[in-house]
Amino acid sequence: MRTTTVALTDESLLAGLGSNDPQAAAAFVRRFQGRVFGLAYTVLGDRDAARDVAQEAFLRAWRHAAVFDPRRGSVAAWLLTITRNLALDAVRMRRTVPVDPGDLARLQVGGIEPGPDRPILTTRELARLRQAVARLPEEQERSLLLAALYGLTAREISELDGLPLGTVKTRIRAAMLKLRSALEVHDD
Amino acid sequence: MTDRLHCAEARELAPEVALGIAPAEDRARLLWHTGDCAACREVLSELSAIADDLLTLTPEHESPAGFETQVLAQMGDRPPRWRRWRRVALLAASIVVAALVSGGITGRAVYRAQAPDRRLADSVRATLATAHGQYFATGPLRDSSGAQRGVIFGYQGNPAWIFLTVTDPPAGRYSIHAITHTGARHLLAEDVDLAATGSWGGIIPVAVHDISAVRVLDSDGRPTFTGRIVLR
Repeated sequence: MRTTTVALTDESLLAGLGSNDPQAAAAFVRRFQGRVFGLAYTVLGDRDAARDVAQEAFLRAWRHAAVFDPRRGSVAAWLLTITRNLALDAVRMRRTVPVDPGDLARLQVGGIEPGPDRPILTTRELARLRQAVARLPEEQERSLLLAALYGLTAREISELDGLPLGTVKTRIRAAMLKLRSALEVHDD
Repeated sequence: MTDRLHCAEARELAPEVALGIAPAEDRARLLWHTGDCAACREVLSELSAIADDLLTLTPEHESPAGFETQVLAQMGDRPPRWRRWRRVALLAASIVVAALVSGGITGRAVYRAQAPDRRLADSVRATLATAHGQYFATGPLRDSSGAQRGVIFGYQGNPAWIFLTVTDPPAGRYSIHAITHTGARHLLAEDVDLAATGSWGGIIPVAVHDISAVRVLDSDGRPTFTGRIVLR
């Protein structure tokens, strides 16, 4: 069984999940649970809350598998976006600031290892993205990740870090444009 | 509605919109701009992809013991019910459409019955949500002055669809477009005679929650009505 599912693409597993194929569902959960739980834990900093969010994320993916559109991004990005939104909802319900932003540095050493079930191009692109993030000035990286992972607005970041709003907006914009530029150069 | 953006201003707003942290007004102005500007739409699309991919850089963590089993058990409990419910949901949805259409196949009467329509839609939405988390949602359809002229309904299922009603539209042929949060525009229908039918419905190629606005354009391509489905 595993020998057949392990080589399937993410899209194939998601399709199987959506059609209630138990083997595909198991393989899908097995493939993504570390990343889904990892993101939920990164945002929430609480294993119990992260488990609840991660479980709900898989159930949402199962229910909405039919509307996944591969033209709009990868299965991983789609699933993790669901996870992040659920985690942010959980944070808002608790009315607390998520984990210590100092932990954001972990991002540079985290990430996905290449494997036979992951497209090489995607792995390479993500490695490039990780490198591009690592090359950002620290203050830009921080503002960017507070926005991307924790959903903080520029105003919220400016209040958190005691910075002028315009400064935060500039940092976020500069960071995003650098990442875009870094990915574009290598795509040619 | 909102004033138009120039490309330079649009590019400044795009990163925050892509990250999902922009104020609603900025997002609306940018999406309005990208509806007509392919270059800025492409930029927004690329930045949105980067924002999504940033999530994949978070470190993996070993999930708690029994996690996989618990998730699969919840799925295993639900498929038969889900399959039954899908039929029920589609039936309920078609009842709503049938009620709307029969109440006004004549079109204009459809919208006059707006309040009962909304109650019915809310009822169906609540039922769907209770069943398996899919939803049915509504929102106002407004003309360029901001006046409400109709209602738009969205059903998130398989397939997902929208249905809109409008009262007394100017005679003519209309095209109907869905604009997503990333600024992509999907043509849903062309050559629609809304003055005759007072309504239109069809399957949509994206999820309801991915739609920022539904626009009805006249034959010259001018926005005549704009609808926003409100997810609660």
